[in-house]
Amino acid sequence: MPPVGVFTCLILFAALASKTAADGLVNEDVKRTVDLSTHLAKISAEILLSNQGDAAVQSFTLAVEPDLTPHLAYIGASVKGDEEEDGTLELKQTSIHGQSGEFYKVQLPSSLAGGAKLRVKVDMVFSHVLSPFPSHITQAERQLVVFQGNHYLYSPYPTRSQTTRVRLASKTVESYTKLGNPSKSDEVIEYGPFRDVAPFSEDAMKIHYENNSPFLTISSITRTIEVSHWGNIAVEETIDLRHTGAYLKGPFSRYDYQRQSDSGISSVKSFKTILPASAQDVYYRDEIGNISTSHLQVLEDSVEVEVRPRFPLFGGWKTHYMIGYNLPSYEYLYTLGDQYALKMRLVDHVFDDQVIDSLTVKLILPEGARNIHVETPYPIYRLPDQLHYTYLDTFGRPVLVATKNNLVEQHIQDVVVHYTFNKILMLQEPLLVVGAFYILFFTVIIYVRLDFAITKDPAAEVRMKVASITEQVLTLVNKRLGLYRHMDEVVNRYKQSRDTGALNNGRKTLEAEHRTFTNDINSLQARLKAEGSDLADKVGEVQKLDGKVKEMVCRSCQEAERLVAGKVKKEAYIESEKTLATKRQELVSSIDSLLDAL
Amino acid sequence: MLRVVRTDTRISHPGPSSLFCPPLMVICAVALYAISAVYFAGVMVRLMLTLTPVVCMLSAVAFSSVFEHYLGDDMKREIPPVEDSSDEDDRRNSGNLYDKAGKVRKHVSEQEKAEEGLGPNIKSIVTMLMLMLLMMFAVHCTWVTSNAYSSPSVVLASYNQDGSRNILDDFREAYYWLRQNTDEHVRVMSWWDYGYQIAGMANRTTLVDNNTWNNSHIALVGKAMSSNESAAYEIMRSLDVDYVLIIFGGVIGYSGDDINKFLWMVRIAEGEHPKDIRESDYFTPQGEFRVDKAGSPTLLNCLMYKMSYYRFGEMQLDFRTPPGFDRTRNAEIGNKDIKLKHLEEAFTSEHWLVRIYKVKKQENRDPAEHQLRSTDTSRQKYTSKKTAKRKRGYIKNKLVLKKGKKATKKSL
Repeated sequence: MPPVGVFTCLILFAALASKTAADGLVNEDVKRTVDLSTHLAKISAEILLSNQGDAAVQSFTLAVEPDLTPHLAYIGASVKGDEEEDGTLELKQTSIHGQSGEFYKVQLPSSLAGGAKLRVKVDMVFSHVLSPFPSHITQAERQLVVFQGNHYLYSPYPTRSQTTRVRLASKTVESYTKLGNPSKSDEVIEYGPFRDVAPFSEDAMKIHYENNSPFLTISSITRTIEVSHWGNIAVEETIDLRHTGAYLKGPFSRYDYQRQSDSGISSVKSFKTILPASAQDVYYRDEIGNISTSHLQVLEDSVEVEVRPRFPLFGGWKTHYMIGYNLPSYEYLYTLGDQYALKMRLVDHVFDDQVIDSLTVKLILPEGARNIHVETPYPIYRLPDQLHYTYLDTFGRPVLVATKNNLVEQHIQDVVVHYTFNKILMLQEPLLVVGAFYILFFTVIIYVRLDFAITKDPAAEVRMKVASITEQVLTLVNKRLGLYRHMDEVVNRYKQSRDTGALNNGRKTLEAEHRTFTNDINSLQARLKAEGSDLADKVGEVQKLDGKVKEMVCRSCQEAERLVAGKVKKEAYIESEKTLATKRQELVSSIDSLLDAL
Repeated sequence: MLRVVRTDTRISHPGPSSLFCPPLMVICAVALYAISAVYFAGVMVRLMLTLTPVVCMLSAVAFSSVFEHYLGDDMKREIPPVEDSSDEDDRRNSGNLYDKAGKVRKHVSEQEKAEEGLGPNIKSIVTMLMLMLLMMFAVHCTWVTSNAYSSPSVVLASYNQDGSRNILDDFREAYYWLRQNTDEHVRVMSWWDYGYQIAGMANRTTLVDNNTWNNSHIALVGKAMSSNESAAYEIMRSLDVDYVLIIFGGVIGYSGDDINKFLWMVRIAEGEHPKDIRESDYFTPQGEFRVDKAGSPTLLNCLMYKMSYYRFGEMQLDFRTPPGFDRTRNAEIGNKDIKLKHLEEAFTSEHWLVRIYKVKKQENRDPAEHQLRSTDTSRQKYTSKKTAKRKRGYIKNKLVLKKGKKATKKSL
């Protein structure tokens, strides 16, 4: 390096040193834990921050190594106080001039006065930082991975003392960097303590070890949440899964896989998905139908699905499936008048230590939801809203679409969606159905009532006319017969009460009504004749018979009168009544047979 | 409605029968239809479909006449008391209800005729039996539909002794593996029976499928399956095959597998390539088709056999049988030491029902079959031919022009 370069470097360093010194913050004691036991690198650090300057400090800065920044999935900081448990702190991304990497400004709960100390805990989760090496292994081989990181805490502040503890997945370690003569016991490598580390110092840590934990990655997940105000929330997740460990080289032997326990040790046979406790009607399927190799277990506080892909996943293999379930809306939907709030998990558990490369959330709200406002727990990229049409939708349901990349378990948090919805709109769909049926039936009614025939069929018309007239005749005749029976009753009553007035009244009404009926039937008969129907004759016959019946009725009436007056003896009356009744019965039955013929 | 039917019967059949009795021509047509449909359904089970309408028609006629007989009489028996009571009602109430009595009365005249019918007990028993039969039939139909028709043959279900169901979903497992973990454009060779399944479920190109309209295609596949590995490799390379899929039922005892179909592959291949494939080669001298040690060596070394039983010889299914015992054919396989040179096992489903092999790309250089010639280089030492005298270097094996003498007349 030319001397000028060195010089500028020095100046830069001095400037930076002075800048950090301006904060006056020093990492007094750092305990770093690098957890590499899964396919994620979970780096957490307990930092004892001390303010060596005079001025009080409101915030401090967290730094992420430039090599690792593209893989950073989650970063969080909390105060590790003695009295209060883990107060989570707010983070805001900033940048430091002249330094590469990502920087986060952490707001402290209370300002840190000069000379004061504070213990904070920082958690970072990195995905896809463990690269399999060798990248291709056979079925019998174990999976070895390389982690490349930093021995030191990457921090804009000088560090007085720090230790780094690396937790591995297994005892087998091919190689590891030996800075400061680390001690290794079983699955743990302890580095340090390192004293007085300068700010922004990096020292490559490289660990090559065996890791057979499932290297499963959700390359894409589409989570569709469909809210219905009729009491149901339908959730469906379409998942693309991939084994991102070392690729399988050479053949896959089912024999070895079945008979040798350590064959394909890094492959994934099944995993557990935890669904909400109220999940119902769970389905697990793909393009070619139900996947029959799953088990559902309903627990007290959750529903566990043992998801077994159709085939074990080896390195580089992928699969695709859908899992869906229904939730009762009262657990997630809050309402106040027309205001609604939906509080649901933006992303849910798929498997432990999950990595989601790309998430798409689709929130389908009821048709007619307005003033939609979303509160997300972390920044997420909103795509333009869409419309979704299902059964009986007229103007479409609003769909909120949002995407985010690189998510881990820590991102399982609630999203709140506020919207207004007019409750009357709930009646829209039932009314739509009612209206449709109404129109249908109305059309049928109109079609049946109206005659759309182009040519008229006179014969059919006559037949129909005759039929209607005969119908009328039938009712009239029946009514007339009813009159006689009514008269019988009047006569009977008269026999008991001997009230001549009532009898006369009854007779009068009988006469009057009989006349009207007879006249009506006559006129109908005339019309039948006019139509040229031979039924007119039959009606005439009925009329004739009816006249006889009428006569009988009148005679029975007179007989009764005479009986009451004492002009005839009871036996004689009964005799005559009997003959009259039989005659009447005969006449009525002949009328009936005639009517039947009509 | 009833009246219309009656007038019809009067036209065609002026007898006293009150049952539904269609004209003779109709009966003949239905009878002919029924007989021919029964015949064809017997010949080929799929033609059961043609039988269905006529069975429906005939059963409907049977039921309707039975019900008309038994229920009709019941009605006549039951209604007169109703009439009486209604008459009494009518007497008590007055006015509009009389028309009812008038309508009912028309049956009074017919009442006498029905007197000679069967007793009410027999009628109700027969009616109940018929209704029971119909209801049971509905249950039976649901069962048949769910078991025989909706149960896809691609998912094999077996029942344990305690009644729990075991699902063998190997076909879909393997097809979905093909769909997910092979390149989109690979070509899969399999026997044509699985062509549509592979196309539909695995979404991959097949060489032959169920749409077989001549034998030449399937004969070529059959030839590849029945040849030895290197000959098959030639065929597969010429057909650009990437994967070979076979069905092997030896582990679970599935009888419809490729070894059982193998003779057809051989026969079809022989039909098109009689010089290369001969069916008799696959039989023992006694004319048996066996997969055990007594089987013909041609069979024991053909591609289908090798692919089916690759590494099966090591597998001991239970303690009563030797390793490599084929449950479908109840035989210990004859060739247990199978090495594949041009193929490699790509996937085998959980119960070994579907085995997929990958056709290896041709190697850059064939490995030599014989021992490589070794030359002893240790003794040779490079000695420079430069001496102090001759400083000029020279090129080894340089063509040297040998100067001859021009033939002159003198020398002649």
